[in-house]
Amino acid sequence: MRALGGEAALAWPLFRTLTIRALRQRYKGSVLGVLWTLVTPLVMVGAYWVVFKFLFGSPIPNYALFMFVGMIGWGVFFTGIQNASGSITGNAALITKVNFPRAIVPLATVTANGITTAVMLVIAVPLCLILRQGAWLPILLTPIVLALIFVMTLGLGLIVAGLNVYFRDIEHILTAIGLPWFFLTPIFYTFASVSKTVTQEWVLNLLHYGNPIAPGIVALQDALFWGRWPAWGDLLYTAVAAVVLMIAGVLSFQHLKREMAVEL
Amino acid sequence: MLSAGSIRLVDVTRTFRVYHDRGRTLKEVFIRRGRAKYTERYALRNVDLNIRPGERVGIVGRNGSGKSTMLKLIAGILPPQSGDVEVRGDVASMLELGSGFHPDFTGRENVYLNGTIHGLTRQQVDERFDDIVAFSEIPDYIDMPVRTYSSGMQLRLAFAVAAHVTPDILLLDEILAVGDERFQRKCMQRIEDFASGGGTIVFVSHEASTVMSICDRAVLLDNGSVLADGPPAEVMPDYHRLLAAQDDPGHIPSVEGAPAPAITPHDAIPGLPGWGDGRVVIRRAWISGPDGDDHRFVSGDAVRVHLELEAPEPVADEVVLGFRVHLSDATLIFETDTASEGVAVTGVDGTRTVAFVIDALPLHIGWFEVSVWAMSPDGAVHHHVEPSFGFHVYPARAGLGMVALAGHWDPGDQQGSPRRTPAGSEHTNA
Repeated sequence: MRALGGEAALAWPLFRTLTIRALRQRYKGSVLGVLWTLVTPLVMVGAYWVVFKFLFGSPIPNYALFMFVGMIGWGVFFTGIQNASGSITGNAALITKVNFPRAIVPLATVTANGITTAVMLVIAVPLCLILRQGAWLPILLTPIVLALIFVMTLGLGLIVAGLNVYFRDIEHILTAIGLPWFFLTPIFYTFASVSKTVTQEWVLNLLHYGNPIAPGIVALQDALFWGRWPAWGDLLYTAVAAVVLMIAGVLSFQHLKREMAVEL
Repeated sequence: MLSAGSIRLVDVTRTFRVYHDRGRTLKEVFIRRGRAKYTERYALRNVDLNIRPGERVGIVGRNGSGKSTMLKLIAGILPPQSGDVEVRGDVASMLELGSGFHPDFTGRENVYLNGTIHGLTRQQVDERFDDIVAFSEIPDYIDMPVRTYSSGMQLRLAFAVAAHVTPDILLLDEILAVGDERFQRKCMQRIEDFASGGGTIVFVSHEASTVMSICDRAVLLDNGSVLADGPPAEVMPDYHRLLAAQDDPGHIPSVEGAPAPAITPHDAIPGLPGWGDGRVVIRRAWISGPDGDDHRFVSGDAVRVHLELEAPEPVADEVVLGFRVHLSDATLIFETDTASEGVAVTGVDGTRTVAFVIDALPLHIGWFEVSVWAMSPDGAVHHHVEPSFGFHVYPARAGLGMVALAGHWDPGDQQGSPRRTPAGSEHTNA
């Protein structure tokens, strides 16, 4: 048994290298390169803007920017989980031939996605400052909220990456629930804006707190887009979710990694 | 407390489930829960093994004997089901060269990736980078994507990286076929340097000669258990015996099926095809070895050549029995008979079995045939069978050829001569 300290010393350079590999791999050979990180959400925002602003007449000001901010949180979270789910199975050749701390693979995958998604801030932050809805000070909370979402994603990423080795369905399940989950998350609407149609309090609460990523997204929108201090409940919820999911992720991965080389 | 470079396996068992119909999706897992059909197969069964720092251990065995599983257990890639695997020190496993290579990345990028996978820091890779590239002999290509490399170039680069990881324990899995012969020698030299520097090597191979030349200890696995453990020269014969036993007997040229070789001046001789006057008939001739096998031996085995005689009428005179070992093209290896060795076989009545006892078979490698005969002292042939039977011989040590000359090398007076096991001595001519 390798000592834990030794494992950590071994882990860092490898984590760095694998993260860089994942980053470069994503846009290797493409002309636009990392700009794709911006193009894809912008195209999506454009389409949703047409649908929800023009056709449904959303009351939210600077609607496109609002959606763009929500998509940063969603992109860190969901794309991170999705990438993590196939990370171990996709690196089977490595896992079955070399012994190294396996958790690095999903962690590096989630991190690489987090970094590329954070590039969206380059557009979002200046625009939010220019088209400010409230105070500018709460913007300083943005990195903290994103960090909490990121840790949640790391934890959940470990879980799905480990499970997917044994049940290859996980990847497909994630693809299937991606769109409904996206729609149930307040990215192109706010809970306030739908409170006229959804009158029952408990339904709103369920949508808000039954969805692990919803409070984080709301807090992100508050801090970055609305320029107001996020609700304590949202921050606390996301922080607790981050800690719980991270612990669950580490424990489950610890358990699942044992037989990985056999199953791959 | 074990010191760096040592490996200890205590009562290690590892099984695999071989699924008859593998359910890998959630639906199948839930629907077939608890009734998925599988057989538990032992890859390793209650294995104990102690490897000391600096030992060069070759693990041999047939396909599926558990060799690779053992390597993966030592590498920490697989956990054992029961028992303990204790490994002290840094382990570099070359189970598959270049398994971490990404085709779209350049050689340089892959060197860094592979180096860190093997536990190096970036700084260490920086320091060793030039040596790695020099060793790989592909400096012109180092900034090209690996997918443009030939497979030989990829392997060379991969070996170069692995060779510059400085572990306490090196695990190798049959990967010495890297590049051309010259590059292979370079790899071997690197491995020998590692070994003479006190590193532990565990090496899995099918090839006896490689194990003989690299290792000072061999472990023979079969069906997940250790069958033999000791100096390669002692273990390899057992390995060859196992291999020999596995040979499909159908592939052995059947002498019985050969066209009847003989003209028979005396018609209707019962027994084997052959010729003679039939006063004494060789009903059966065969060779037997230490474990009852009758046509596959390892050089050095104690064997007996048996002649089963039958005399239709009692023969009062002496009967001269002889046999000849030859190749299938009739090249004579050895011939002898009872009379020339001063043995008199007399009073044959009914049946009798006579044997020629060989304490240690001095043949080395090959397929040998035996012809046998029975005649009178004045040269009248009673029965001559040519050939009567054949047998395989597998080598017990390094070297080539039909005959195993007993002996060893004397390297002469050398100043500071390196430690050499007898098994490694065939390199002296290099």
